[in-house]
Amino acid sequence: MSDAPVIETRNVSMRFSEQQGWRGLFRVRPGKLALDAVNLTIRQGEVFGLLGPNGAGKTTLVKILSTLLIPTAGEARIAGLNVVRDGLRARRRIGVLYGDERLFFWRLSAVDNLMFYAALYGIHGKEARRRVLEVLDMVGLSESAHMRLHHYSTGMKRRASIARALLNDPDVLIMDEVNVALDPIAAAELRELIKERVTTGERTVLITTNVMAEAEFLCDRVAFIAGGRIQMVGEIAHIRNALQTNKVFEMVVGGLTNASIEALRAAPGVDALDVVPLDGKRYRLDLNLSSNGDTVPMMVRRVVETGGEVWSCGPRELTMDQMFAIIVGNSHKDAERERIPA
Amino acid sequence: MSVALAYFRRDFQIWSSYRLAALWQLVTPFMLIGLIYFAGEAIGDRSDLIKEENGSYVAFILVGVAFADVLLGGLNNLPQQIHDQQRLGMLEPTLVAPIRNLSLLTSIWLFRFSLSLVRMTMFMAFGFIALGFWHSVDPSSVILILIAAEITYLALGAFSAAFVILFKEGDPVRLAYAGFSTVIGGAIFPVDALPDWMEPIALLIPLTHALSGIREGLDGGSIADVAPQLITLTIMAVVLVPAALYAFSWALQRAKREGSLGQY
Repeated sequence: MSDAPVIETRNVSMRFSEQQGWRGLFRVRPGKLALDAVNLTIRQGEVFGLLGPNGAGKTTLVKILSTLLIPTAGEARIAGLNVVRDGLRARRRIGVLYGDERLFFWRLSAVDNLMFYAALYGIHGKEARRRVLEVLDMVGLSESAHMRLHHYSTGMKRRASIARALLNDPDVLIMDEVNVALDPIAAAELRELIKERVTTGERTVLITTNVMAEAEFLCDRVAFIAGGRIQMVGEIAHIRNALQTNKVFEMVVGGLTNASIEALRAAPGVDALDVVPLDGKRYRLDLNLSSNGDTVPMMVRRVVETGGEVWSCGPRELTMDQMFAIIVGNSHKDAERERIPA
Repeated sequence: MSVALAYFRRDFQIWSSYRLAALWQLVTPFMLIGLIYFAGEAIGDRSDLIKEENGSYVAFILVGVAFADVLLGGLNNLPQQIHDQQRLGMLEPTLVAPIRNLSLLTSIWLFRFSLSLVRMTMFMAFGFIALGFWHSVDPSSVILILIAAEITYLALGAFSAAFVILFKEGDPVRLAYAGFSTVIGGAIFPVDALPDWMEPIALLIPLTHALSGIREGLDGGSIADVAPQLITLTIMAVVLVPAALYAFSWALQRAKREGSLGQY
């Protein structure tokens, strides 16, 4: 990975106009703000995840980067090329796939579809055929390469979409909600395929998703976006540390009475304690501690002193889903506060 | 050119995959030829209105239908293809690829134009072989007029495609111009048959000049003989092509700002 920025956005905002068509020609009524001063820098070779709930602005940003939308304000660059002014040259450097959109002519085979798209990228003749077969092999579709697309399953179509996005061997690959509508097994297989065959080498990859497991599996860094604003950017571990102000520990214990559990709950440094029964004899204690300095050994001692047994004890990290919930939840609260007049 | 060929190949593959529809499209001109022939025979000799081929209405309408199909195809196909691609959700994926607007427009036009050329050839071959028309044809003047007129209609098609991108439905260019062209452009009946006040309007329509020049060329008129029509059509093309390309480009930019590119 190099430090050279390949995808850059500077104060990119997008406000869709409320009036379109005839009325929009004569009167522009500003509508929904889909992106609000988005700043991102994604380095060469990086696999970057853009995470956010539905309607957060992920697809809007992707469409700006792939030159299908022109931002209301700000500037976006791909490999140093302004996506508005140098749209044609920028498009040569990117491969794009949208999970929820139709990319293919279903009455044609994968080979015929990809031969068509190859020509749009200036790849022709034998070179096109070689490249088409190569990318189909890369995504595991060699055996069904000559099958019409309407015989493909959703998972196969998604693989074909990846093949299409790789046709021009792009410097930048943008994948928008690639796992939409896939069953868990197909989604996991696709993740493996992306990890092993797509996110390799010097290629910069931007993945948008609201599937947290996907982001954790694939991405070097992530940005959380909600309400059109970037909420947090960084490596997942750093974001987790930043969010995890309280330390959460998990302790599996046995032989405790209600009184001893209450005593543990009242111990200094314990902000919260949840008890989850496991098998009738043992409990899982979820400890939310304000610090982990002496509290954990002290808790272990107390359990043993009150006649209990400690089966296991260890820290528990915030899951990606929890991080997502915290960040998106905070952004909703911020938005609510902004709506309340002072 | 390679992009245009890729579009041609793709459109042909899709067209030929609907075998019955493709066969039907190739058979339909024969039925129309029959209709034209018997209608023309019923109307008979109209040398008071028609100068070419001894006033034969069959020859007149064969030329009118065959060439109007090719030329109006230039106007109709572009907006229709853009509209179809919007509905299929294929417009955005295509526009993500690095192709220029002119290349896109000519590419999506090519296959349908070729189909209309095949139909035109069928009409003309029937008149030439079966009915003995146009044996003194000057091919160069006919081809030059056809090229100039097709470019003009292609430009109008690009205007129409710009409307479709912005407004999706109800495109006035196509509805009004295609309708006007067919009615008063001299395809079905001579412009001379129109009321006096309508004849100047007919002169604003490229089809009027195109069919007039083509009929003259088919009757043996040289390039010098069809020069007035050729010059008129060339002026129309020179004015319309840059304006249409600008309008199409502007419409795309506008739709990208509005976020309505893929909508229909």
